[in-house]
Amino acid sequence: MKLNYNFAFLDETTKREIRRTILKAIAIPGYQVPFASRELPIAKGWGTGGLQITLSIIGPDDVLKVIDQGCDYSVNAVNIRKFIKAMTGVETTTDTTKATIIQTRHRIPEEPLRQDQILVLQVPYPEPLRLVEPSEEETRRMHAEMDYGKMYLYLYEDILRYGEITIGARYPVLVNKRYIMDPTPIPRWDVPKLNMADNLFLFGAGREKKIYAVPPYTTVEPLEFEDFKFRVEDFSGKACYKCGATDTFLDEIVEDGTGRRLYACSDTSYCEKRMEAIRHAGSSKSF
Amino acid sequence: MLLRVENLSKKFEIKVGQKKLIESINGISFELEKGEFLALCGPSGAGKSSILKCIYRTYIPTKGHILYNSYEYGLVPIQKAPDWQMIRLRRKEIGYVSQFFSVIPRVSAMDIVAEPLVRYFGVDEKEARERARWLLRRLGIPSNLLDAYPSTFSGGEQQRVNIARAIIWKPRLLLLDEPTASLDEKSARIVLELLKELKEEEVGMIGIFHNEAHLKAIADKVLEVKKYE
Amino acid sequence: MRVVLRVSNLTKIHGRGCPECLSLTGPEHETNLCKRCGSVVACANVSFELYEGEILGILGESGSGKSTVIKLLNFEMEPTFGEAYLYNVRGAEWANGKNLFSLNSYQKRMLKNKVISVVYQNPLLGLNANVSAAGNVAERLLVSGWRNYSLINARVESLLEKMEFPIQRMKDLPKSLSGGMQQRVQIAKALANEPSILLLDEPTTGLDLSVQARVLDLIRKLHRELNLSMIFVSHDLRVINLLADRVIVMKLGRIVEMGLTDQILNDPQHEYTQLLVSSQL
Repeated sequence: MKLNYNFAFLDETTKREIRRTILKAIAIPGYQVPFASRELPIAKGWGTGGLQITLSIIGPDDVLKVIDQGCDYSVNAVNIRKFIKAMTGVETTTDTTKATIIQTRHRIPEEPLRQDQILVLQVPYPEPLRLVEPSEEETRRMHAEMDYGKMYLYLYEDILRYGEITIGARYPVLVNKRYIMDPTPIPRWDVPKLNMADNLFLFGAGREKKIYAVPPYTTVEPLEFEDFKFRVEDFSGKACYKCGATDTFLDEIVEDGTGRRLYACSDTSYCEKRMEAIRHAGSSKSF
Repeated sequence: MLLRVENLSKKFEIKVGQKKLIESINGISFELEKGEFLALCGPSGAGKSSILKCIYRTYIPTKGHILYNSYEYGLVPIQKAPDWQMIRLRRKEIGYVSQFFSVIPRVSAMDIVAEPLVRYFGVDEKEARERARWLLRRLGIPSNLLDAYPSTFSGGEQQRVNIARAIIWKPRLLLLDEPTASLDEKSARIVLELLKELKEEEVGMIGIFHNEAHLKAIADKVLEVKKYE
Repeated sequence: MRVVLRVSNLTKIHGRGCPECLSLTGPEHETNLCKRCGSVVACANVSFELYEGEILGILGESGSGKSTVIKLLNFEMEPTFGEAYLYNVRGAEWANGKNLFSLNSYQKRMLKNKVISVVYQNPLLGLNANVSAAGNVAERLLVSGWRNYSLINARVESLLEKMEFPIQRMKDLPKSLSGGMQQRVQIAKALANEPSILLLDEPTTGLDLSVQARVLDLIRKLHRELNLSMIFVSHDLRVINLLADRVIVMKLGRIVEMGLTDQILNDPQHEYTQLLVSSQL
């Protein structure tokens, strides 16, 4: 028996309200707009925020890509992609350059996105100031009054104690020179991709019920000191064992049996493309 | 006219415990010119110190007027001058040498004397300390005591620090309560010499001496203060 | 001598208040508690001026309202009514002549950070317990927009040195420091942004005597060097005598007497002041 679902599962009224929230978020870059998160066949904490955004903006002509930690084939990515495809019938792809909507968890693809593409990020914890202030009322006031001293104090203490800023993922950034934002647990490597990008970034936290956005060509600056600047991870001397890339974010893998440490591109589809190119070059076809 | 006191009276109204009225001085009048030294005489308890304290506004006069000719403000009725004005006058024009040394703890003798110059007259700290050193040496304070805390000094030494602190900045009006009381004859003579120099520089002074010879050496006029009847 | 702060009719009533609160409380009634409505009148009709570069003492016992005045001026509480005005204050010319209590919270925060600073009796009230001594001082600078770590540290070190705080301990958390050292950090923090007005609420009460003396000396030295305007609250006459040019005497929320320090101590007019002066051991 086939049940009749509305296109993209959510009813039109809900989609409209979520789109309104998204517009608000775009109008105030980096500001967390509250919204009433809906019931979905996926439990909260598994990407429902990002999913609700995708379902609200997707149209029949869109091409969808879903990744989790850079990989198209992890269980969660597969489930989400299958669900959306079942609810919409849209074309799906693993090729970053072919997608119009990319939903992602914890990574931004290596290939830069264009103006006609939207990146939807899944957010576990939207509030960057929670690190220094437990009270929601207080963090809202801090955002409203741009009272971010405590955040800089946290960085100062890090340098005082450890000689450097030790924050890895969820590195706090200042958006449009106004709001401090949590870019989600993407690695430092990906943070610079948010700054003055051609594409729109949408962030959805389903469990925490917040949506925020970084419009195209918006400044996104990681918090830093003049003499202790933001640095990305250092992969010098390492390369992907599959495609040989030395300019991508690498995952560390311990080989079964030998215990050898290997590094592989986290962005699997990009890695595959590179390997394709190498194969073609190998069969004397130019790339 | 530097100072005119008219019909000055002071009564203390005790409101705590045994309520009573203590009468200190009554109907005191006199005038003082620049460069004049007025000595207050009279039996102990007659209220001589109280007169000085009324002029300095440590006491609030009960009746009467105290008119002071200020360099900065013109004629000031001290009995009703606002606090901030009194503070300013005390810093820049009216000096007071009390009978007892008010111990400012943990500050060296030289710094205590130099402080008014630095704080209120904008004198460079090094120069102020030099002047303080010179003055204290002149007053006979041994050089090894200059950097010491006066709390350990003898009565006479403390008194000389007191005097130095008040005269180093040359007030317009100087009030002295028994300035030579704890001093030996030699020191007393030095102090009187210094006071004479101040007189020549037109400083008006009112002083209480228990030693008649000292009084005679410096006073231009004398006011007999009788015990309040 | 210029006025930097003028306080007018400052009043704080805890509770719902009623038209009779003020007439039923105060020194003549020997109580802070309004019989009619049960509200507590913490302070009422407090008016005074603070002159540039002076130390104004507030003398009173518990329940006098002296700490309430400090808390109101530091924007920790809203007054029930009353006004406060700043004049001629460096860095806050925009606030000149405006009632401070009518400013919005952003403006108040700006004043708290740059113009008016507080030092509390309990240093932990003025310090962030989860942050190092250096961090506590640095916070003020960070909030003001300092973004160079080395410059920030240089200033933090210089401030702590001025407070005679051992630099080797600057990474320590407040709870591992002695009371005297915590107080030094608190004062360093208060002075980080070169405020014009410093409010001190019994900063040395509870410290060991020798430590007390050193902290007072420090405050005197700072006052001299920085020409700070200060309001110093204490119940201890000797401390007031040492530091303040003028004193306000408070009882049960009201000012009972105000005058030159030596006059208050030698020729107290009000019954309560006479009692205080004669009670000193």
